[in-house]
Amino acid sequence: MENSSNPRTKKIQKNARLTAYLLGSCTDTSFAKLKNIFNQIPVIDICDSKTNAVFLASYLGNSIEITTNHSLIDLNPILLPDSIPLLKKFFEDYQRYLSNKLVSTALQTFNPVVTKNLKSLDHHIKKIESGILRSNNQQIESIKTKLTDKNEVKKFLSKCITIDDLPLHILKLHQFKNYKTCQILIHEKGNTAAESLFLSKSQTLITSKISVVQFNKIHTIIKKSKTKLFNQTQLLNNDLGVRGTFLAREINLFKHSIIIVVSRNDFFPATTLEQEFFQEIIKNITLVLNNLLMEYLSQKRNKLLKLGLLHLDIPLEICDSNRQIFFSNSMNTTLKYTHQDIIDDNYTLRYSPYSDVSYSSDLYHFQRISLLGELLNTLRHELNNPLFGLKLTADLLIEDSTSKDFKETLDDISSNCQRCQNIITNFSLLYNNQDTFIDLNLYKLLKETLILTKSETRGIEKEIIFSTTLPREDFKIKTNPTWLAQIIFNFIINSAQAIRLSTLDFTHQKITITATNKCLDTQSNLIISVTDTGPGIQKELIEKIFQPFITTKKEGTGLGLSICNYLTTKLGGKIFFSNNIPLPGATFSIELPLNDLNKIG
Amino acid sequence: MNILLVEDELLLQKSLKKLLEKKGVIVNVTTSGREAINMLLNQNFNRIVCDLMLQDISGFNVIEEAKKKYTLLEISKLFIIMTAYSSKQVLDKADTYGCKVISKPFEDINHTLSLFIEGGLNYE
Repeated sequence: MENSSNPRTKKIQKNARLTAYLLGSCTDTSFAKLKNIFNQIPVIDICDSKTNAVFLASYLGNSIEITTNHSLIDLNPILLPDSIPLLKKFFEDYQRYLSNKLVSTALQTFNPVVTKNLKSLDHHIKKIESGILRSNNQQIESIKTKLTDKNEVKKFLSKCITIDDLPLHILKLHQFKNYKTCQILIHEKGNTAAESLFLSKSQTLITSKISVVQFNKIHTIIKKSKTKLFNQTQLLNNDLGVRGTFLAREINLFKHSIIIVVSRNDFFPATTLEQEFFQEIIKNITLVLNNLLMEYLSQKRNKLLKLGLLHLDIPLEICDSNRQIFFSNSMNTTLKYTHQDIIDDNYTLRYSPYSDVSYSSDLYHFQRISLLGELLNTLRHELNNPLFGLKLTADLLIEDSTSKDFKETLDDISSNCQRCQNIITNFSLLYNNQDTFIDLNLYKLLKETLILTKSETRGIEKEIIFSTTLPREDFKIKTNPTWLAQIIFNFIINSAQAIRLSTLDFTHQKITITATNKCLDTQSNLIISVTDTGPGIQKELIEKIFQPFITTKKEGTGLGLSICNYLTTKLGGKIFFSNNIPLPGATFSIELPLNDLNKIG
Repeated sequence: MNILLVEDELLLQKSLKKLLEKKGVIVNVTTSGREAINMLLNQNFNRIVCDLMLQDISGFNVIEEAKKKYTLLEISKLFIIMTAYSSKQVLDKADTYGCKVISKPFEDINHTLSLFIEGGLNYE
């Protein structure tokens, strides 16, 4: 519509002056008359060039014809009497209208609806303007009020950018200068609560929620009313903050229902003028309200999003291209982030997704358990059946067999079937997720766990050592067999892999599992350690070795030790490790309290 | 004594047949649930030992078909269920028929064999 690159538009915006080009010949007397009239109108300049003029004027005897020459003004040619006061008024109104129009041009870039609405308002104003010219003086006054009202609405619309401001701007309108309160209720369809924005003059905005039932009650009453004028006897409701008589109007948008209420907080009914003006305001608000509402909701969403990010367990920061922190949810600016994502050309997101070690280990533990548990369960059932058949058959054949050689071989088959079944059973026990504590024989459990690591520890010497204070064969501990076995299993696997990575010759390599008890003043603790002769732990890993996803192995998940850490905590114990200086290798240990829970049997 | 053994793990089926025959029992075997239904409807058995996870249908389907011929009380005495999946759901369902359930692998083979012969009276 308006073309900002148009030089004429620019000129108007700069000067905000009206110009007129007078048609006719310089020698003509009527032209001189016209020039004389225009010279007496201060708001308009006579312009020499036809192309730069806003208006074109020609003198036709007793009247003057005015046509527009400007893209901003769509005015049909009108005839005005050659009365200087009337012409003055006409051009003054136009000047006001044009300067407002410039506001609308500025607005247009981000809110086309406002502009559209302003345009229709402009049209309205123009109609009234033409009305002025045809009416007598008594009428002029009332039309003038209407005109100022329209202008007021126009100004109001151009100021109102957010819903939050709406109550304030409504109360600021001079027609509502005696009004004390304004309340806006917004209900998004399908929502169980409606939002209330309540403003008392010279106080801050109060936002609250009201139930949809109440909202609908109010809505229905307002909708049925013709005058839209209420008092408390008609609409007594705690959710409305107004007192006395008030004006109210409902607006229905595509996704929202809105109620706007204004009140003077007294018992005098609103004047007809106020009622009319209120209707006028509502009519005009409706056009822009949807946009304002969308803006308001998206702002609210952003606020919530920001709040959510601030409360997120995962520390994160967003940096701009100069590495300046744009947003961070952590007070600790020295935090080292483990992950980094490029959001776009300007912003980078840096975060540590697994800050809470226990939480994430917990999660990964359960993931691993449930996956492996399922797999092992299937495997157990599918293998147990044929293995059982094999064993039974072998046992039968042993009885029938007469040859000693045959018998021995069949014995081997039978006992190996039994071993397979045991391994499968032990494995599925290792990955079942029962959290009961039972009395168990520690040596037996360590031995069984060692069997499960057989393929990883093949060729490496292994030994289980019990300190002399502990009865090796009979020592019992009350603990969770699954968790304890998993911790030891992980330790042994880690040791074996460390050794395997460092050497191919296992002659001097050894994994030792030690159980000792440590007597403190009040209680005694049990320490179970796994010591290897591998390369030990690298210095830079020492601090974060129990963090998830820290791994030195090509195919490692980095979860093993973090799960061990988590399980040890669940057992009520502590986990620690050290390098065997000056000897090679590392020792990983857990220390469990031997109290009532883990008493010596 | 005439036992119908429904088991699709052939080695197990053979061994159990042999072991039971040693105890002087006549053993009819099948690997198929449908065939088992045919057999039990057309012949009379003192005992039906049935695996739950068969290739074609479930052991419970076999018991359902047996209802055409036997009362619930007779079924609870006639059938013994074998399963490698002794989950709670399976045990609960078996309970509705009142049948004895034996988990595979058997803990004590001789005890199991005598159960097959003497009857799987539940709640013994």
